[in-house]
Amino acid sequence: MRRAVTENGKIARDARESIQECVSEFISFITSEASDKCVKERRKTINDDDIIWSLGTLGFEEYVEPLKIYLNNYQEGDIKGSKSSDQNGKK
Amino acid sequence: MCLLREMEDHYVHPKSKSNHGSLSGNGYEMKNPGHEVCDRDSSSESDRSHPEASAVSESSLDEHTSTQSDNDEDHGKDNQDTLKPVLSLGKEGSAFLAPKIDYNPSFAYIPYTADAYYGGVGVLTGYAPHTIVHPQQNDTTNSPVMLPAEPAEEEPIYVNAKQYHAILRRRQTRAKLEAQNKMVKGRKPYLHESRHRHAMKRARGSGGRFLNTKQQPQEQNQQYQASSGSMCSKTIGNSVISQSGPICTPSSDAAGASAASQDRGCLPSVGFRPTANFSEQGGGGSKLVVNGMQQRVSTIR
Repeated sequence: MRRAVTENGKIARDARESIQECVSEFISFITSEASDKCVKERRKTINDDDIIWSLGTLGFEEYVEPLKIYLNNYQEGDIKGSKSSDQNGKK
Repeated sequence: MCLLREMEDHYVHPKSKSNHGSLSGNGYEMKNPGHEVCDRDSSSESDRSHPEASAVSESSLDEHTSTQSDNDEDHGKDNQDTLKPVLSLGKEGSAFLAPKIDYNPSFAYIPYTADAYYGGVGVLTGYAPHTIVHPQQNDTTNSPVMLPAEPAEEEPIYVNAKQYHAILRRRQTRAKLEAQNKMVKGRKPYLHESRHRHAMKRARGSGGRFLNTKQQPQEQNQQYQASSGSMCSKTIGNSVISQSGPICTPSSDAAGASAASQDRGCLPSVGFRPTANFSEQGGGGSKLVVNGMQQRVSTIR
């Protein structure tokens, strides 16, 4: 949330909690759609394609392409992360 | 008169929902007759929807009563079938879901979630319709669908037609969880203060993993499992916390109050078990599971 606020801005605790609840609800919203698809296909494991498909089904098509890119970066980072010698300044 | 209209809307929607349980495409069709919108699918599918449309158009109490009873039976069956697998699959599903959502700044689309969350309250206004209506991805213009209002509410809310069934399903799931009083919130982020501080001191790489490790990620996970439970869970939790650093939404939690960090960091004590289950997938897989387990387990307990 800090990225969307000016540097000297502050975020109230209530706002943080509200955003947290909204994000959790959104995750459950997407997950239930993906889970519904898995139930129909007699599968027990929800994979990344199911999540991206459910986003498209629920009207978030704009997110499909960026998320595929992030997914590839994440999978690559999974291998590179442990070998990288540079440290992220934010942490 | 208003009450009758509300009741009519309330009767029609379980029908469409049960149809959605049987066939997703059919579910999309069933929305239109319920709201007196022309059906644009193929002729065979439109034939199915015609009786429903006629039943709705008649608008007699007897018809609605009989229709309601039939739909109640189907609705109950579909509901039972869908809800239990949802709960069981949610653990794995959430695992795969969380990192991707975190990577992409979903701030712009939070209103949709808010609408789903506050749908019953009737506070928010409807959203502009999207271009595509049918699963076949036609370019037909979409009209907003009227969402059934709670008995206490006076005005209906218009939502995206694609999200209609999902919103109804989420409402039922939330009601069920509240009835079972399983909306547990927050867990202790770590068990030992000294170990937590030590982990926070360690250097971390670009992906949030600990540096100074000469072995491969899988071997690293094996080491974690071999060590004590608290050690393993603590390490996983901390790495997950650090991973969320660059993310928009969780970064406020990381930088915010201790309560927020506790909510974000409640992974360790929960995460150990899924790690053992998914160790075959390697480091990334384990963390995916850890992230997911937080959401699902906290709701179940």
